[in-house]
This record gives sequence, C-alpha cells and structure tokens, in this order.
Amino acid sequence: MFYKGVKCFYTRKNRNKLAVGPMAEVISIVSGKGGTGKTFTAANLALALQNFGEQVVCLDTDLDSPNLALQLGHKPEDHTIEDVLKGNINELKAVNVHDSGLMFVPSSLHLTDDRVSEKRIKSMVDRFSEFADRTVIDAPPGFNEGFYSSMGISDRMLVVTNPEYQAIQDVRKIAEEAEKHGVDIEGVVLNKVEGMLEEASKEEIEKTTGLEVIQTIPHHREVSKSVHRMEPVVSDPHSKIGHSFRELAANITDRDFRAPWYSGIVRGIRKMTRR
Amino acid sequence: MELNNDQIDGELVFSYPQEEKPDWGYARNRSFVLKRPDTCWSSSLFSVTKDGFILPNRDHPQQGLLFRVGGEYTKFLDAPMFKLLSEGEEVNMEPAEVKLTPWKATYIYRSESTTLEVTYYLSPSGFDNKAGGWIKFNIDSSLEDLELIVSPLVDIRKVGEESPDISDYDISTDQGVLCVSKKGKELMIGGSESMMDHREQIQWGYKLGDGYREVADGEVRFKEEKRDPVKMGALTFELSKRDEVKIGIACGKDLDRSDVEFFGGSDVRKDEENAREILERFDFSENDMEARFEKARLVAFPKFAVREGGIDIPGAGEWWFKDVWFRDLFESLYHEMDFYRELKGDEWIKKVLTWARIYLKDGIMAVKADDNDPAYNSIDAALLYLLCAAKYYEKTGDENFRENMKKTFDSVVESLGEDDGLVRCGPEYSWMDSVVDGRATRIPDSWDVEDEAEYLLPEVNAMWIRVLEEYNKIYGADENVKKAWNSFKETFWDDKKGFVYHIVYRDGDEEKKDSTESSAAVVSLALLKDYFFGYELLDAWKTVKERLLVYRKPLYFDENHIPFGILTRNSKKRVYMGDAEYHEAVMWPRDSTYLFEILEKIGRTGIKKEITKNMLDHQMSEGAIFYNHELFSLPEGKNPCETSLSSNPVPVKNPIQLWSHFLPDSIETRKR
Repeated sequence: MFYKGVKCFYTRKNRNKLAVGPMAEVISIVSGKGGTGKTFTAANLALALQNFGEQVVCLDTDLDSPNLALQLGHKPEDHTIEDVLKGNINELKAVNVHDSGLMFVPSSLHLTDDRVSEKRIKSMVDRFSEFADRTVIDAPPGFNEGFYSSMGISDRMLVVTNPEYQAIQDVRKIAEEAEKHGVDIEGVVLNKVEGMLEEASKEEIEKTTGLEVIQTIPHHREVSKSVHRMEPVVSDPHSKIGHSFRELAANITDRDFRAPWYSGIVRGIRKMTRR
Repeated sequence: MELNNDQIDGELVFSYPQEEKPDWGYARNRSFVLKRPDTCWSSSLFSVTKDGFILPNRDHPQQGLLFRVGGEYTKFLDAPMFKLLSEGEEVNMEPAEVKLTPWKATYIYRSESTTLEVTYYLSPSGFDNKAGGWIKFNIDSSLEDLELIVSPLVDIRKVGEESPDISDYDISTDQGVLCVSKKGKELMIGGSESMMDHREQIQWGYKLGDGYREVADGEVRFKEEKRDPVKMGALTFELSKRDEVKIGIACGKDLDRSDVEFFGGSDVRKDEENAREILERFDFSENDMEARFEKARLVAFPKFAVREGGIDIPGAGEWWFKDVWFRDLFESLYHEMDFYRELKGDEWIKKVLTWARIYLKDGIMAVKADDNDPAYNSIDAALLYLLCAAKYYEKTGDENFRENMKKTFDSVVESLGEDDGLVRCGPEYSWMDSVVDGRATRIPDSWDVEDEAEYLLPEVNAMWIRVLEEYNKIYGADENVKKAWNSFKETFWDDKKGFVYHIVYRDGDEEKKDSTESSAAVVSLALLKDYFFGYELLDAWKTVKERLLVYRKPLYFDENHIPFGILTRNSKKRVYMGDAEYHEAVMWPRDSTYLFEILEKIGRTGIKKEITKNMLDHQMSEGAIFYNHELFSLPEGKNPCETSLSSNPVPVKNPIQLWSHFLPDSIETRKR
C-alpha cells in the first residue's frame, strides 16, 4: 500500500553513534502539601528557562491535581500522561507545545487510578532527553509514590513552600528523604510572602530545614490574575512576579539576569491607564 | 460544459451531475470529501439502489464517515440508505445533481411529483474522543402520506482492515437514538421515535479498491475490494409535502444521546464565515473559472489537519495518510510558507516546528508521528525540516527561535556528511521509498549491489548543501559548502547528457551511476539552482521537456493538451499497477513545486502557469473534488472504456494528498 516505515535508519557516519547522548537534566518541583503554588512555580520556571533559549519539557505527574496544562492555558482532552501510563499512546504523542515553544505533558482532568511508577517516568524522561535540554517535573505533593518516583529520577529538586510553620516541617521531612536517597535539593522557593509578622522568616526556614531559600515570591495580585486568565506570569515581559521566576531560572542555571530598568515604568503606565 | 458554479453570499457552490466516468475503469469518478481535524466523510458523486433503498456510492472501501479515536483512524458509517414512501408505495426518483462546497454536499433526486435533497455535513472537529455531523432531508412533493425510512450501513473498523462480523456489533435504541457499538467504539444516529432493531450484513464491492490495478481480460482495471457493512435498524419519519428532517450523527467512544443533539445542531454558517474570512484576504476582483477554482483550492487547503501536541497540524492526506508524515508536512511548509503565515500566523508555524523536534533523533527525523514507536528511516525529512526552520527565521527574524534551533542544527550537521562532504544513505530513505521483495525499487534492476548504506542520492545531497549554507548563514558556522558542492557536481552531474544522475553507488573504486532521467534530479537542480550555471539549467530543462514532461487536456478550460507535471522516473515500467511501479514512470504533482523553481530561474513561467491551471482543472473535474491525487499513471495499456479524455494521465492512488495541494503563484499576487 505504501512504503514508509521498514527499518531503522543509519548512515555510514552515524552508524556507530546511535547511543543516547548526554541526558537532559531533570528538576523536580516538590512540596510537602498542596496549595503552596508548586504547579505555578513549575510552569513559570519552565517557561523562564525556555525563554532563556533552552528547550524545556514540563511534565505533570500530579495526577490528583492536574493543573499544569490549565496554568499554561490549555485544556487537556486526550493524549495525557495517563494515556501513556495505560500504554494507549507512546510518550511523544503526549507532548504538547505552548505558544512560547515550551513543551509540556498534561495530566488528565478526569479522576484516575493510574499511578506514576519510577520506571515509567524514567523511560519518558529518557525519551525526552533526545530533544530537550531540561525536564521540569511538577511532582505530586506529600510523600506518596509519585513523589518518590519523581525524586528517584531527579538530578535536583526545588521545594516550594509558604511561610507557615506547619509547611516548614514538611520541608524538613523532604530534606531528610532527599538526603536518604542521595538527591540534591537546590533550595527552597518561598511563595506567597506577604511580609506579615506571623509569617516564618527566610532565616527561620533556612535554620529549621538546613536548606537555602533561593527565591522569595511575594504574594501579589498578578498571581491570582495569571491563574484566572491561565496565562503564566512569565509570558508578560514586565511582570514583577515574572521577573522573580526569571531570577530563579537564572540562579539555578548560572546565568545573569537583570530585569529591564523600564519594567516598573511599564507597569506604572499600565496601572494608570487601566480603567 | 457540465459544471455550473455560482457564488452565493461568499459560499462556493459547484454542481455536478450524478454520474459515473467509465474511462480507465472509472478512474475519473468524482467524490465529495468533507475534511476536519481527525475526521473525514466521503462518498462518490452518484447514487445507487439496493433493495429499494437509495444511497450515495462509495468506490473506495475507506470512504464513509471516519474519525481518529484512541489513536486509530476508524471507519464508522459506510453510507445512509434511505427510501421515500407515499401511501406505502416507494417513490421512484432519479438522481439528478450534487451541489458541493468544501464543507457540505447536497445530493438531489427528482421525479415528476417530488424533489428530495439530501445534505451531508461534518461538524467542526471532534473533542474528547467524539465527532459527528448531520444528514438533512428536504422534501418538496405533491404526493400524499409521505414517509421517509433511513437505515445506516455501518462498518466500524480501523481504516484498511476487514469488516467485523455482524455478531460483533451491539445495537440498541434509546429515546429516538439508534446506538451501534463494537468493542468500545460507538455510532449514534438520532432523530426518530420509530426504530426497528434490525440488522443485515451486506457484501459490498468497492470497485476502485485502494488504487491498485491489474490486467484482466487484457484490460487495465482497478482491483476491486470487498467489505461487509451491516444495515442496522431503520429510522422512520412521517413527512408533510414540504418538510425537513435532520438526523444527528455522533461517533467515537463514551457517547451519550446529547452528543447526537450537539452534532446534529452544528451550524453550517460558521464554515461560510471561515471561507469568507480566508477569501477576503485575497483580491479576487475577476471571477472567471480559474479564479473560482483557486478560491476552492484556498478554502480546502487548511482542511488538512490532525490534532497533535495540542495543535492542528496538516496531515498528509486521506485515508491511510491521515497522520502527520514529516516529509509531506515540510514539503508543504517549505513551498507554502507565505500562505501559512498569512492564514495561520507565525506563532503557529513556530509551534509546529517546535513540536516536530520531538521526532528528531540522532539527526534523523521520524517518518511520521506514529502512535506506536516511530520509524526513523528517512533522511530527507530532517533536512527539509531545517530548510523550513531557516526559511521561517529568514522571514520572521525570530531570535528566540533561532537560539532554540541551534542544537537541532548542530545535531543534524554533526550526524550526517562524510569526508567528501556528501551524505550517504539507504536508497529508500528519501521520498522514493518503495521496496518490493526486500529490494528498493530505486536501485536499477541491472545493479548487483547489496550494501544499502553506500548510496548517494542527488536530492538528499542538494538538501544537505542547502542546510550547510543556511547553517553558516544563521549561526556563523564554518562548514565547507564549497567542498560539498564540488563533490556533488563531480558525483552527480552527467556532463554528456547535461543532467543529474538518479542514484550513485560508490564503494572504494567501484562506482555505478544511473542516468535514468528522474524527478529526483529535478528536485536537486531546483534546490541548487543558484549553484548551477544558467546554461546547465537550460540543458537540464531541455531533457525534462523531452523525457519527463507529462501533458493533459483540461476538461473545463478550452485548451489542447498542456503540461501537467513531470514523471518520477523515465522508466520502462510505464503502467502503474501497484507498489512495483509506485516510483517508476508515474506522475506525482508534488514534484511540480520544484520544477517551478527551475522554470522561474530560466524564465519559462508560461509553462508553470499551464501546469497550475491543469492541476486546478484536475482538482475540479476528477477524483476527490477540491483536492488532488498523489499520483497518476500514464494512459498506457488497454483501456476498458475509451472516452474523449482517455489520453489524459490516469489518477490511480491516494486521491487527497497535502503535498499535491500546492497553491498557484497568483495567490501571492492576490494578497491584500
């Protein structure tokens, strides 16, 4: 009927070099409990890295709270990570593309019994290494199988927490588990900081957990606006919170980043002209 | 002239008589094809009767209503069978004409007392594993006590497969909806309270089969295929003398009856608006036949789509080409980039190019976006991909894209190319990829050669040289383009003939060169038109004209035989039967896009215009109306039924193909 798909291609030159090249780095975004802003962080960090010229894949392994695609303005219909786990489709079929070029693998909005095993997620991430520079995983909160699977294949982890004393105890537990499994924690992203006296301070968190707070994200109306509009803050080149994520992305990849000097003016003009 | 065309409020309507075309075994039979992302609905433009029921014919077993569900392109409905009764007696009507737009087909039947119009419409794309459309019956009759009975002919199976057994189906009726299911795939048809739980398997012969041919009784004919659809249930409607009945159809999985209502309520006006929006971007101040055909081509163009990566991406065609085949996609993007920019925008192109990167591995692009593990057995696709990326960057200056593509360029350039600056590969790893009995048909029969990785293909190396050139230009790299070009010229240029070799085998001192004239040579001449001397291109054109150019007499334009395209290969195998002749002396319109570049360069634009006009004529006169066949056989061998058009190339296989659907140059000048 047609001939396309008979055998694996090789040329004389690449015949001996079909081995897998250097693996893409895997960064998992974890948290001790839900509602810390983990998915928000994963989406915006991935987008900031993408905008630095990397090819990033963001993978939603939080099957119980599948919000990554929504944060990126997509409604996942089919071709989700669950379809891959069920063996309905191969890993590549689940890769979606955001307007920015960021690739992401959504999780289904429907309730599911599927679980992410370390083996399956590793095989996906290995496959993504063929075209991506970095994989960012939006891991499930807490200490379930999904968390350990994500940790098992990560090169580094970022812990997202809020300045609440209960949340900090969860971070400490994550730090202990990471140490037990020999995984590096890059640091803590302290989200929803309002500067209230009741809040745990950066220093307290660092002292309690033994981890460095590498980025503080203030509580800001831009965040709720971004979530409601399903537009990541990083998509706005002058967003204050967006700059926080650019700083974070630059920090963990040893880049320099300085927000444009006129961003504040742009925001001010927008504020004045807003009806 | 049999074609009537009106333009009604921006809607493109073309009328055809309901008739068959017996020339070359019904090769020129017409069909409607309604295309949507992941979905298609098609029937031939004439009707037949079976047991007193009327139904639109299907000449191919894959015609009918199809939807890609669960990764499988699945046929659901073969056709609706229907009959009209008056006072319990069948009303005999004659098939009259069919009115077509790119999104709707209306069959008209008439008797002295009655006119019945049956309209088929496919809703905008499916979602959540569901798709559908509607069938509308409009009656105008002087008869009394009218009753319409509709019985769907169901065939739920994957494209290309055999029909299931009648016992594999479950059938039920629920509040005016007929539900048929087979292993989780469902078809629901609604609209009547009166239904019978009836089923009957009918063997049906599809005379054009899958486009393969054979010699029977000395005549060249298509190999008919048989399938066994099942006539399921019956929907009965009582009608007044002037009445309208609309039947909603849903297919896919996890359906409920509200889906039937949803798809049954789809509004055709949205398509009219879309068509108007497309056409308003272009200046069609004249409204002659050619302009109207161009409009139809424009409106049909974006209908090549499948949903991948959250994007509607052009698929290669129908029916077994519904997926994204990368070389087909990139050929279309490369040649029609301006149009895609106009219609879909730069962001869309960027997303498609970014998405495609996931199918690149070790410098090689997969053949298609497969649901299973993709096969990495093409070499031209990766090179075309980079040429598309370079063109996109050149047109947009998108620095972020440039930066993101750097590693991809690096990996391809690193993976290919050898010491002499050329690329070697298997003979079937370019678009002429047919293999018969384990041997690539591209290798001349007289060659006794085994090592498949030692071949040099001119079109692949021409793409390679262009990629190196772009790599240097975009990233300031220092690849030795001159060396590659010198090697190309030394390897492929047949000085005696003034043409490019079709394929070269070289291993140490052993060298073989095939001087058969081919479109692979034309592609390489086009890609390297700025490298060859002008006189070399003129010599090459002379050879193309003498050995490869194919002529056709248009049906609608008052012309004699004018150029139509070029042969893939000036081979002795001049009658297409099947795979063995797939890339022999057959004509593929996709090659014309490259020929046009040469014609532009040497100032023969008149021929380019003639080819374009002839393709438009084909598009509107034979095969799938609004679309173009992938390949044509030469009109050689014994024709079972001679007609005035028998000397025209014969459309044989794959009636709807993206890379045959290139746009005329005039589109560019029509931009507002």
